[in-house]
Amino acid sequence: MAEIRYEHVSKAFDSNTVVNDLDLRIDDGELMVLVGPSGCGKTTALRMLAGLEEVSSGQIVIDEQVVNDLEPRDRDVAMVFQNYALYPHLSVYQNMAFGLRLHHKPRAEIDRRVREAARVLQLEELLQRKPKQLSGGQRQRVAMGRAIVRQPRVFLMDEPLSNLDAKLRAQMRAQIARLQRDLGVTMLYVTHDQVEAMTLGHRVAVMRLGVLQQVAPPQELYRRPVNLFVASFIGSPTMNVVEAELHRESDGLRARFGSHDIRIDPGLAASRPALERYDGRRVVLGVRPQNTEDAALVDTGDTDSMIDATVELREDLGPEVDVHVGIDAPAPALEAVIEATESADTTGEAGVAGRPEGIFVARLGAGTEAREGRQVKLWLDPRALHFFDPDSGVAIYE
Amino acid sequence: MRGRSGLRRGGRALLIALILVWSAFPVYWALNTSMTTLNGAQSVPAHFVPSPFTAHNYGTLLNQTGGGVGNQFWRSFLNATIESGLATVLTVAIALFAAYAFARLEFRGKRIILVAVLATLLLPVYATLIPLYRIMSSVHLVNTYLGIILVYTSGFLPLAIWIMYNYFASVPRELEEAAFVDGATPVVALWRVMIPVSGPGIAATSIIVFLMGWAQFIFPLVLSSDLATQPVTVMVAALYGQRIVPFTLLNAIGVLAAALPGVIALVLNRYIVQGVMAGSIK
Amino acid sequence: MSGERTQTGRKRPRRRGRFLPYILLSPLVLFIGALALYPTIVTTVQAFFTVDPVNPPTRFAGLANFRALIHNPFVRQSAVNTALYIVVGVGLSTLFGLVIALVLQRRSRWRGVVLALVVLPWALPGVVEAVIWGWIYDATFGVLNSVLKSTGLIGSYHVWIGIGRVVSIVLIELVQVWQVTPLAALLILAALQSIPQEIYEAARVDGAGSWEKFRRITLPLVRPGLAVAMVESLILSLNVFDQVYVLNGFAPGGASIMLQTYQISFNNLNFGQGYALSLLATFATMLLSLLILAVVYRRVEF
Ligand SMILES: Nc1ncnc2c1ncn2[C@@H]1O[C@H](COP(=O)(O)OP(=O)(O)OP(=O)(O)O)[C@@H](O)[C@H]1O
Ligand SMILES: [Mg+2]
Repeated sequence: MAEIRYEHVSKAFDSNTVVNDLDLRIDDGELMVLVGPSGCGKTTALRMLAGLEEVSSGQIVIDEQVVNDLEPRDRDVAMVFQNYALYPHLSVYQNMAFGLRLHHKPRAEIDRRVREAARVLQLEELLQRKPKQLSGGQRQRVAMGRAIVRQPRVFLMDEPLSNLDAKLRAQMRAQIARLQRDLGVTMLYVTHDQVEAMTLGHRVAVMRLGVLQQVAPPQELYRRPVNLFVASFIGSPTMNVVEAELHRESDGLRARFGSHDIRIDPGLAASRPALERYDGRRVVLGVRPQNTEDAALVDTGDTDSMIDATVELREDLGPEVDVHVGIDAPAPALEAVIEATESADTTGEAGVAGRPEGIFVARLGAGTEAREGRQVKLWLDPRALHFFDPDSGVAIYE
Repeated sequence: MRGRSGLRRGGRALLIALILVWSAFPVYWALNTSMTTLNGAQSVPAHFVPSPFTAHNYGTLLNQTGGGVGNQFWRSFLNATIESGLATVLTVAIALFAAYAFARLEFRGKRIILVAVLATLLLPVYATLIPLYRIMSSVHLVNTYLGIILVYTSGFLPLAIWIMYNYFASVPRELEEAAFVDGATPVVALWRVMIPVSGPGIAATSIIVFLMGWAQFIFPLVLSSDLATQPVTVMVAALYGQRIVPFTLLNAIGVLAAALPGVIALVLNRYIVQGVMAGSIK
Repeated sequence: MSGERTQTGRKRPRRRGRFLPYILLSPLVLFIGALALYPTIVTTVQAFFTVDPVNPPTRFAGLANFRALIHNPFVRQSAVNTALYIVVGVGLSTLFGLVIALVLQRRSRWRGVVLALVVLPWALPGVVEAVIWGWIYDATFGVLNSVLKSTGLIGSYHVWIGIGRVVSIVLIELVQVWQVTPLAALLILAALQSIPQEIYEAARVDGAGSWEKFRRITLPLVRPGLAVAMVESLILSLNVFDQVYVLNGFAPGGASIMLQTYQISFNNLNFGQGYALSLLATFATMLLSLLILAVVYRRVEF
């Protein structure tokens, strides 16, 4: 069992800083997911913990022991690589036994552990095969088995599922979660897939350009993102964001964007006192597609939360319908949003390829009658609006 | 349309036949000559199959006891095997470690050393022949196995390193990193992962080096010309020059001298081809 | 899950295994340094000295060795001979290699067998090959004479080696070509196989016939392979020794520079001149290699 701390850890390749002052603590037995767009430094962070990469500054602590200067073999960690890195010249059995042999475990114990892991991972039939003779999913399980048998303090996984098809990925995701829970081992799991991050992580750490953005349980990350990047990166389809202006009327704070003017729920406004300071100023308003509905399907007379828009595209998902509507207000031109949207769209399951400016996505009930080219009246949940500073992108809460 | 493609196919078949004749005929001819009598070999026009057939020449080589051509031949055969065999072992062992360091480790002076080593690939025999003779004679290693093995090894190392370096560089890094995480030291990772995974590359290198060793002539001519250490090439050249051994027997000797590398080339040519190709591009 | 916890590991210098690379490299450095680089330096330096083991000491001689070589008719003849060896060797082995590579490029049932036989001559010792070919070239019983006579190409049996200088050299070099061609073929084949198939398909869509495809795609793209093959055969024919030694002995008509070097150094024991000739030959090798690379080599990236 182990507790891990990254303390002000930075990593630079030549003059290029790819991990910047990372401060992260992973509790004993916790499954921490590290997520972020491609190239943000996730793998590098993981490899520093494994000892495959030296840290440039700061320190990494496992169980109160600074491990900066320890070789990988002395850190008692196990790692599953993206391409699995199975030893091609060894059978499945030998692959799993390799680490134990190197640690001079008795033969009987090696055999017991390997067979136990093979049973858990349903590899019993395959023990004598060579990696070349396995399917992608089977290889993945062998890679997991190789990590499990070691019974290490820490499990490291670098996008272990990215080479599998969607269905297998969902299965393995569940299996990894179960294994981690049963073994009670500390795990750091790297992915760029936010769905994987949200479903798997006890807590999720979001990185961008080498900088840690937010660490929180999935629900909190979804509900209270600390900035525009996290807000846009987490959730699928991506959160709609638009430039708006706040103004106070007799019934409370309202947000005006384009020709629309919606009321902010007083309860929400009360829980975000900092909003007052933006009265009469620009903000970035965010609305998740899930927090919209066809006004015809909500039985509320709350016309203050409704906007009229023209449907440009309708996508039937079965239980729900995504509609893209035109909004005549500018999207914030923040680098963070663009990056988050781009990378989310390539991986998000219901991703929208390159959402153009002035488009809102709304996820509506299956009963909606919205048709392409027609007007639709949308209800935006006034209790689930997000606000960000237009210059810094920082979320506006307290 | 059909006629043309038939013609083309016929042309191709003819070309392949020509290539096969070009590649194999001289060897066949040596076999043919070695399996007939002197009279048979001296018939005009020549017989294309051994007639009369006899195994006498091989019998002479096998049976001779004490001081004869057979004894000389087998001694030189043994010498060549020992010299190229040990040189192969030494070369491959040294090249393994060095190629691994070049392909996987970071250290000061890496580029300079690598370039210096590979530059010697371009040095012709001229550059080193005389000094090597003088060095070896000054340390009394002329006419010893050790002397010739050292010289072979220094000559073969650059090519061996080049081939293995390319093999190692093509092995994914993660494989070793997995071993490190599993508890291996760099040396263990090399031994338990890199070397087994690079099996074909090591085989190719060994085969190529062995064949080069077996074929050496000018260095052993200079460095080990006495009977105790001379390899089969030097011995065959000497016999040929003396013109006292009948041609049929000489061809039998040629066939036997070619047999070991020939069989290796025919059976293991996959590795030779891989090795040459691995070292070729870039 | 506490089995491995006891191991805490040692503190180490930050740079991992600082000395390991040097330990791994030391045998190599020792070998190459002592038995390749050092001798090369000796050759270079001593070419300017009088070195005669029978008549020490070694004295500085300036350019005397070079002057003596230039005025030595045998050396001059061997230089001319070697030029001829090179022309024949590089020309034929590249041509044959290219043809064989083109044939082997096509996948077919016979490819494995053909490849195995093609590689064979490369694997055999040059000396043994020379002996085998010597018998083929034999003046009274050789199969070459027999075949040429029965097909009517010659009227009577010829003495092939040792009479006509050009014929001798061509036939001696042919033996080396036989040995080197497989290597050239493999090097060219490697280059051919690195050409993406789609380029040919695109050309076919564009309406190119076989000849156009060969001229406009294969030939330009295979140039790196050709260059390497040509340099290899250049180095080998500049060094030609085994075949000449066996088939021609020291007769000046066919002697190569390597043979001349051997004779000066080990028969006449004039090491100083041997060094000087070696140095010249080494320079010639480098220069000609660079020339071939400059003319033939074109970097190709896909
Ligand atoms: N060995 C290296 N030398 C130089 N730069 C490197 C090295 N390894 C990684 N980088 C750079 O560091 C940055 C972060 O790389 P890293 O592999 O950690 O990203 P990642 O978040 O894992 O991305 P992905 O999701 O694509 O795997 C990238 O810009 C990469 O180019
Ligand atoms: Mg990565």
